[in-house]
Amino acid sequence: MPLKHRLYLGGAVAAACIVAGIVDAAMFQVTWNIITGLMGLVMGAHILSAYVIYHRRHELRLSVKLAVTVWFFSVFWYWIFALFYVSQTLTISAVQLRFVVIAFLYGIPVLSTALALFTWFILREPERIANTQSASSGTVLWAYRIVLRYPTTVAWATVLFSIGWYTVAVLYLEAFSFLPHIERVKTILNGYAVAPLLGIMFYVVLEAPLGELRLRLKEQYPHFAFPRQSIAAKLIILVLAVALGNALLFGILSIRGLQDSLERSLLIFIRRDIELLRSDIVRRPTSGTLAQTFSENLTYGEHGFTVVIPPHAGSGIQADFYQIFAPETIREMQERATGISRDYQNNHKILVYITDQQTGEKLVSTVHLSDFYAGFQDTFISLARGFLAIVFFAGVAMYFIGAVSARALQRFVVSVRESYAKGNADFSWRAQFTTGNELEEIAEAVMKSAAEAHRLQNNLHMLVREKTLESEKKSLMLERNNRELQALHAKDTIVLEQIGVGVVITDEHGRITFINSFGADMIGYAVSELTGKVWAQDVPLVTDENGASIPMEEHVNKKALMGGVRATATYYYARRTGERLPVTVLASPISIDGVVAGVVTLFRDVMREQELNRAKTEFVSLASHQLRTPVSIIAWYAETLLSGDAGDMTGLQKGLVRHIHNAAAGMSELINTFLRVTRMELGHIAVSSSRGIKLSRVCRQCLEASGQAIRGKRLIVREHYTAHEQRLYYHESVLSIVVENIISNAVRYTPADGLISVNVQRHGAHAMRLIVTDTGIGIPREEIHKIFQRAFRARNVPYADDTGGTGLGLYMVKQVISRIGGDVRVESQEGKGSIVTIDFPVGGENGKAGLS
Amino acid sequence: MAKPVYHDIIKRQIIYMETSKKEYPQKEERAEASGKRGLGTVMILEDERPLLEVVQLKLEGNGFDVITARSVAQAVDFLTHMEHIDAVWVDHYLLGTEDGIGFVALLKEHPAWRLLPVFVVSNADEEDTRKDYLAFGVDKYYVKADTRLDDIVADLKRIVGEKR
Repeated sequence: MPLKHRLYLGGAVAAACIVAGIVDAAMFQVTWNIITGLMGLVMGAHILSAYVIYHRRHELRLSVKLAVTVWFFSVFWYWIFALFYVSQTLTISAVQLRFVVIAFLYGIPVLSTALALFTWFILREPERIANTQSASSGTVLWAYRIVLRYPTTVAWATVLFSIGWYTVAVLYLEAFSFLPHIERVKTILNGYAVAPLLGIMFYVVLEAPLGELRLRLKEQYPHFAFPRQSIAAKLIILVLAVALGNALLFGILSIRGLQDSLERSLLIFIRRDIELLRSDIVRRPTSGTLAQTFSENLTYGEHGFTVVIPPHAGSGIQADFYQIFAPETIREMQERATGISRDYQNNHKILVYITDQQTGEKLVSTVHLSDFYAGFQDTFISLARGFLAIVFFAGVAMYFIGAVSARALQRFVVSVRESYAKGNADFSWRAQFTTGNELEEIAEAVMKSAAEAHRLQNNLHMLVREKTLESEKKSLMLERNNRELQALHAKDTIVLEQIGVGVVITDEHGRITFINSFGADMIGYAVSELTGKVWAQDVPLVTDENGASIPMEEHVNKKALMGGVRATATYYYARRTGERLPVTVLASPISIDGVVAGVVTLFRDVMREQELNRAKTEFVSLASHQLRTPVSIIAWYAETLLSGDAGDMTGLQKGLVRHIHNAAAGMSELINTFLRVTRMELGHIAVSSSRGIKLSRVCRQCLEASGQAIRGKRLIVREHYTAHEQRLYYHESVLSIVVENIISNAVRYTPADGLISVNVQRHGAHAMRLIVTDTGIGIPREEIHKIFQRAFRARNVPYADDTGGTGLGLYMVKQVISRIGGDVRVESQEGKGSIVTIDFPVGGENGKAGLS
Repeated sequence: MAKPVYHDIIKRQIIYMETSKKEYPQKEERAEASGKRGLGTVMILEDERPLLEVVQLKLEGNGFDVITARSVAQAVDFLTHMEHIDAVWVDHYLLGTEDGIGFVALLKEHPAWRLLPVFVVSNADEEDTRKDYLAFGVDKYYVKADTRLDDIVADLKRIVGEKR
């Protein structure tokens, strides 16, 4: 059965019981047994409902929960505690019983229902209202929110409502009963006592500020698992609250007990007096005399009197009697025995009846109760004080219970707040809570949060310390770097100053920001004069070799600045004195993020270099000339002799002169080779050519040049040239040096009847390969690594060298091949022959990539 | 290297010419002194005396008339005063301040001498030097040490023969 239905059922049973009770009380004179039985049924239903609701409480809306809670606690209070109190303290007459029935089965549930309804109206749709983000103050929504946010408000509202309601209800109900005046006061006081009790219950059940605090904590620490509230803690608080309520009622109970005992003692006292006078009553013949006797003897106050009521109505005495008492009261008096009743003025009076057996007369003695109580006024006051004291101490106790348990929390809050205010939250604070309720749990939760925060804080501190150390380390490193940089800068400065090259650093406008003193000296200025000037515009004048000014656009530093690329040139700087200084200038842009921020210009005095070059060139020219001159004299004289221009010679003479001629020719060749080597080393030989030349052609020419020797040794030459030949873009002379050397070596070191093969083939897309194979003497294995050294001669070259070798050929080949980016390899086997493989990159524009 | 100013040379030659006219042998005298005749007159401008002699011997032996000079001034002098010269044999390095190039330049600037065949026979084999000569329009450029006299003589015979 769904919860809802069970609730409906429980409600229906309760309602049925209530209706049955009301009907029963109205229609029949019920006995206590019936009432107790009905109440047991209703209680059973309520207990069942309470159990079910408690276990399904999470499924209920807050407003429903509130209503149900109010209902149950109200009912339980009255059924358990109030009933007990009433049964123990009240002497119930039939009319009073009716009031009790109404109060228990009708009035109190109605009161509770009204309370529940009131609460429900206040807290209607709490979730929706709680979610209302903004509500201007004073509106209903705002009030709802206030109520929701501060459950204490609800508790106080309940207290006030209870007090008001009890006052009205009790005063109203009093009209239907014949309870003495003291009972009304008692009931009102009872209501007043119940009201704070209800408030306490609300406070606990609604989780008042604690519940609110808990909710807030939950909101602020969503990741934190809050422990469930302990039911035991709640129960203890409930019992304490009830006990406190009972303690408040203690005063009332005391008054009631006192009143009761007083009344009893009074009745006994009067009855005893009457008994004492009994003989006189019998003796006296008239009622008047008897009444007078009673009045004289039994005077207890101003309003007391004694009457004798005759057995039959209509007598004079009876008329007097009716003047004093209301007819209903007289009827009651005639029906009932001794007790407490009230007179016209609605004053409670104690009545004592004695019926004379002989005459049937009824002797009634009355005492005004207020007169009777007058002597106990002081007792009332002191009891009231006690009650107030109890209330006060209860309040104080409640305050301290809350305060003590909250103080630790407060300390924490203050500590946290202060440390936040100081900007240095200290979460290391700890406190022990042993309140045994949710406060302890909350405190634990807070402590856990604090511990977590403390841990996080420690972690943070550690992290910060680590980071600090790291950054300190970094700053140390930076400092060291800085020192190193400074040292480096100092070194750089020295280097820049001592480098022997003019160094100029210019900014993006071409102005000099740095010039080394060497550079400044070179152009005849002081460093201080130059700083800030525009380099190569203000100073120095840039000219060509004839002294004509070179336009700005041609200056390398301008090119570097505008184009952002390195530029180099050789031209002249005019010194201050006007003389021209030949310089080679290299300008490199300083690019920062792709923007040229300046230029570093290096310039070198090339006068000395130029002079040296010229001297070298001249030396070579002169040397070659001077060496050749005697050689050519020898050669030409020998030739002239041989040709017979100077007359005929004998055969012997001719032979001798021929030797001279040959030697001269060899010498000439040696000189040529020597010059080539020297020139190549000086870099005087231009390598590239715009005109392509076929390697095969060079080979044929070289073979032809060696034709005489080849024929003389009867060598077989096999030539193979590829049909897909690429032209090589080098000077013919350069290629000739290579091919000629290789072929002449092959011819020279191959014995008679040997074989030479010349093979030209393609090597990749941008290179040609020449392979020259011979069956010559070869090169010893241990010497093959030396073949490209200058003046290398293999040890197996015949001692009486008639080969005419100089030891410079392969050296030159290597030089040339290195220069053009090619490759030369020699494989050889001593006595078997050699294989020379040379790769020529195509060169020129077509083969810039060189050999891969 | 600054090029010599040839006009100065010419001026100097003129002065020289006027003062030393009589010393130079005329064609007739030389013809008498020589055995073979008829192939033409070659002026040899060569500073090295042994070479000069052997070349003269060789050329005369091959039927040329030979005039020898050892400096540019002398050569200009001969050109100015000799009636007939068919070809010029020029060495690069010469006595005096001028070299063969200056002389060739002079020849090529002069209207009367412009068409003379010029044989440069030198031991200077720098590419630049060779280029300079060829640029002036010389007929042949030989490197002495690498060349046989017979080859030069053969070329001379051919070129002078064609010319005549």
